[in-house]
Amino acid sequence: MNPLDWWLLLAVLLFCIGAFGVLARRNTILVIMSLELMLNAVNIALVAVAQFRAGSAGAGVLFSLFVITVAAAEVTVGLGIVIANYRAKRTVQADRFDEMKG
Amino acid sequence: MADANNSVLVILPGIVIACTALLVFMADTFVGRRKEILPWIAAAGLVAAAAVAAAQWLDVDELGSLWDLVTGRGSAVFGGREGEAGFAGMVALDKFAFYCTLLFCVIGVLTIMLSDAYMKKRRDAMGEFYGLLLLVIAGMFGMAVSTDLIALFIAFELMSLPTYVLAGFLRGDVRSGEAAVKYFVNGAFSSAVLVFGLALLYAASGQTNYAGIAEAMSGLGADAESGLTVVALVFVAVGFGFKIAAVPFHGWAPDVYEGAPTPVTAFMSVGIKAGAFVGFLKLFTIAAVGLGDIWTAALTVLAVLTMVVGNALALPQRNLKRMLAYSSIAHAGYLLLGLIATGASLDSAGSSAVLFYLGAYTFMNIGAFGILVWIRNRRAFRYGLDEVAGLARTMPWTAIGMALFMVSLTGIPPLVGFWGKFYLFTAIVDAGMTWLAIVAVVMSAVSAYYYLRVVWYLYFREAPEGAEVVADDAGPALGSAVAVTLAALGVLALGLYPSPLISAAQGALRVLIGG
Amino acid sequence: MEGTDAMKLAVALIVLLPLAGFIVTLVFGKRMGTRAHVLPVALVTATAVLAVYAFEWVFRHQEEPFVWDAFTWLVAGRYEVTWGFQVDTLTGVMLLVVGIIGMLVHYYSIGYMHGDGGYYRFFAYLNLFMFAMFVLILANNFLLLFLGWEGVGLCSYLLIAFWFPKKTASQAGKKAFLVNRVGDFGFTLGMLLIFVTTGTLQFAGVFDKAEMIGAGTLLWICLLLFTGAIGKSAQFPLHVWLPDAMEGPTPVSALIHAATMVNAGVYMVARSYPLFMHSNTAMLVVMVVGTFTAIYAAYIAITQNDIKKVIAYSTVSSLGFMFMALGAGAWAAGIFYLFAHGFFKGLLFLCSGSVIHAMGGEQDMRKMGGLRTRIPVTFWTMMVGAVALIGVFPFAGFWAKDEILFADFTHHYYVVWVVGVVTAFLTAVFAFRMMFMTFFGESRADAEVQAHVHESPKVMTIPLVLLAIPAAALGVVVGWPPEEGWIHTFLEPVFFDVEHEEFAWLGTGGALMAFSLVVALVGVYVAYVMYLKRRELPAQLAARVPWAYQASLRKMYMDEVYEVAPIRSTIAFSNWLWTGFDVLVIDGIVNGLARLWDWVGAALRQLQTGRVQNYAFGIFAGMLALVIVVGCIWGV
Repeated sequence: MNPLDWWLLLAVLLFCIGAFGVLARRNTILVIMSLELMLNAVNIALVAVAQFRAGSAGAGVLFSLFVITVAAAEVTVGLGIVIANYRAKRTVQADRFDEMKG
Repeated sequence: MADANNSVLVILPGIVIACTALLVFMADTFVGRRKEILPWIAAAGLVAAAAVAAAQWLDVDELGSLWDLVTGRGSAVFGGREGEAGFAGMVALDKFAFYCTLLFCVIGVLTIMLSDAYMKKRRDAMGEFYGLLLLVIAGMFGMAVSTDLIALFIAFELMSLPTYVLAGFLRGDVRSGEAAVKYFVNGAFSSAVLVFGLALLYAASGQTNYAGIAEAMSGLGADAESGLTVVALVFVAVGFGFKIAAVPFHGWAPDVYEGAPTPVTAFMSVGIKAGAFVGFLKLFTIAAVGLGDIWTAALTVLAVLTMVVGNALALPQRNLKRMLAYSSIAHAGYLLLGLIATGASLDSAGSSAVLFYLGAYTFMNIGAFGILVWIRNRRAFRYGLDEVAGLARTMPWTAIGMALFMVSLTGIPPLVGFWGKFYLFTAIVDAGMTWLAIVAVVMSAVSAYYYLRVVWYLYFREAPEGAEVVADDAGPALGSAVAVTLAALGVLALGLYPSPLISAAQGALRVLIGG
Repeated sequence: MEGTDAMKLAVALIVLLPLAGFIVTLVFGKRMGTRAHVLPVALVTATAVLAVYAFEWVFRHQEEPFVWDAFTWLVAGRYEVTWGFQVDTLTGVMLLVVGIIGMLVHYYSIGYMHGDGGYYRFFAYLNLFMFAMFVLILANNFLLLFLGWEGVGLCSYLLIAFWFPKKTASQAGKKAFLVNRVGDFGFTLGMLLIFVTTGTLQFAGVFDKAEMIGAGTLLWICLLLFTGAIGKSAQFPLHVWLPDAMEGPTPVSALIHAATMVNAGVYMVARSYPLFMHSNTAMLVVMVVGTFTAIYAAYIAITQNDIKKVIAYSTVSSLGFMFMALGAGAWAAGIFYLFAHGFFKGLLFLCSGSVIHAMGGEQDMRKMGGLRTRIPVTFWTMMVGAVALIGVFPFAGFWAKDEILFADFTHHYYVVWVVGVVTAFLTAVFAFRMMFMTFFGESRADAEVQAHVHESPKVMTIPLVLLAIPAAALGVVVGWPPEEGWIHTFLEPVFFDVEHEEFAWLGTGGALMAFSLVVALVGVYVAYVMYLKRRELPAQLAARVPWAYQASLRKMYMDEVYEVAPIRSTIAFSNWLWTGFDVLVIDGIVNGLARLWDWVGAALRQLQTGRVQNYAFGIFAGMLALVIVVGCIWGV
């Protein structure tokens, strides 16, 4: 395997760990942290491709900068929503939000 | 398509919208009590954006041929010039983007009108509401113009993040908050999947520019269809599939639609869906055009699931908002047919049918939700099906409007919904996938049951017992009345005479797909 | 072409006047109160005059139909559909039926609906119906026809459920709607297939290309179109909605569910003659379905006690007769029957309405009887209708029915012919059973009801008389001489390639004619013996006149025969068809499908748990599944 494949494998692993966190953690704060992990997996993949893939444009690095920025914005919005809900419902447990279903 | 001398000009409509958003945020602190001016500023910004887009397209000497467009003889207005690219090919304003810009502005203006009574009750939050709405529309505009993965991602997030806030806009309302949590967690999750897919697409091709990706992929020849591309395209499809609420990525949709404020729901079901479809369409038909086999297969699975599950779940619903949420899922399934048709046949008919349907759906669905808003402005209303029983007696015009939108959503001629389905289904048949058209027709027959059941309740059920109670959002609501009336006129007029819209949609596609 | 401008105006007004009537009445009708009928009735009268004018025009220009593409509906690439109208001889016949009967029913409704809470609503719907029906028959393309088709359907549901606070009425409307969805679904698919195959929906364009369509495709097109016709024209197995549709006011039954809308399926098949003529299999299917429906419905009609249900099943049977004719290649005869049937069946319904009106709303024939002298106009006009229905010389039904049976026979469909003859016999039995039970013998009504029995007002009886005239005389006027009659030459431009046999008075033709006449009369006699004479006459007659002994004896004989085998089993079978098969099996399938969907929905709802992470898991699992599915398809 060439170096790129190893890096991509790492990215996939991190992505899956993050996804598991989103699916399994009940605490919304931890869910948001897991989301960050997923996005960082993406960053590793982007930078690795820019560095190691033959004939690739260098835009991957640029891309990862935007991903970092967006991730920050996303966390801000997410935490805002969590806090607003904590005020109304006094909980951050994700599975407590099940009033609407069916 | 050469790069424009001034790249800023290319995204000027988007800049106008975004600046208007900032203006609204700032004006919010200065206007004091006269907050009623904020929706006017927002609407004016949208009109200005549409005008800017039009001005860039409309050569003065072509004004005469506007008449040709109205009479359905061609797409003269869109036929003027080729598109202009900007920012080193990251964005391009072309006929396609122009059509979408107009559509988004219409959606935005209708939403602003729809929300007037709703927002008058929440005057403090007016600035945030209209500002965030404009930011979402700026994101949608970005989806339409971007021709690069990076630009696409930014536009996608610009469209998504304010929507999470809008869904949870009713601070203190448990359901609205719940909607925000659900939308955010699932949305961020699928955004991550999408961007991972984009990264893998970059890994497979080494390019982020749509044209560059297509070129690199065709250079790879048979190697292009590798496991990496399959995973990349499926991940991208998941990301977009989430936004359009395709099954099985739809779980959030009914809950969020039910919990969010109704004007926001109307906007999400139409606007976000349109924005996502536009981005979807452009990415797949330009960048992944050579990989049609793969994404057509993926989308076919999604389309069948979406149509069947969406309609099946809409059947037992007795809450109108929820019923419309599931029906909105089903419509996403029909829309996918257009993409599949283009992928399978490389003919623009399917994609232009999608653009047409997005326009048609805008009027039908904003109208349908608008009626709900309107009823709620007049009396107590929890969106229950039983509550509209016998409405024909007490609010005859409202009942006629509701019946009109339901019949149009069913797809019965001569209303615009019929033409939308007609173009989608003929496109998929022309692409050689008749069985898919049959599934779609059967599913629309099923949908007749729950849509027309509403009509049934309106006209043939006695009103429920109990006196009329004071409205939750009572007050004069001229805006919602105008929005619903405009939507009804659109449904009728485009139903009787769909030619202008369809020729515009076809003209818009010529730039993406030859023919 | 001479006079086309006047014709354009006439056609435009025929369509627009009822539409205007609908809109104005719907908006302002409530304020007009008991005078709400004035405008709709006036407009429909004008429309009827224009329809007669259009007919007269086509009468003078039989060879060159009037075609007018008013404006282009939509252009999309190479496709074009227009708001286009055409008037040829077939349309001419339909215009007469719809225009005249429509007008008379409007007048009749003034009396019948008098004092009803939804008076204005009723007339608004009727006008809307007229609009849609005219669009349907004047259209020159399938799409516009379909628009009219859906329109008449909509009015039908609205009017069936007109008295919707009554649970059965709203259920019946719902049922009509659901059953028709099945048929319309077939029709839609058929249109789609036509469009995909020929690239157009204009009649002229489609029919020009009819010969070039492959046999398999053509068969599918025809069968899908016919599915639509089965729904709209209440053929087995989609006929179940029509008997229930009698929940609507009686003028509606007469206009929509006897004279006009239910004929739309027959009309559509006849209109698509250039398609069907190239597909023998499709023709066979049409004939078999029609024949079966004819006898099936006639069987059931024998045991019905609701006067309107008898006529309803009779209508189903008559429509089956029409399809039998079309399928057997007797196109003109089928339309002839449609023409005559519109008048006499409309008449029968209006008369039954008059009876119900007289009896203060009672529809059960077991509680009627002896009305002959109490409501003489109704009696005599209804007698004309019944005689025309069973086909007694020289009434309208005789000529039309006889031509159909003649065609079955000469085209060597002997089995169909036999079934047709048996149907004719059964028709005679149930029609006169109805007449005898209603108008003859002792009155079985309550004293209170009896005291109030009265003839209907003039506004109701005059339409009856006016309808009785064509019901009696139409056959001779347009159908004489058999197979050579005016209607045949008139319809020849439409059914351009039909072979038909010489009719010989002193040969097969005359013999068959005489035979079917005898069959009808025997049927009447059987009804007479069974439902009238056996009841109370025998004893008196035997005592008073000696020759009645004979009759009495023969009555015994009849009793023995009928009581033991055929009647019992027939009645039992008929009952079973109605309660067992019709209600259980066919309704069951319809309801079952609905329930299946409910069940699927309910099952899927379980997955909608309301938990955020379950949804996210759905996304993740869906993503993995999609990768595997797509990966496997492409073997990567």
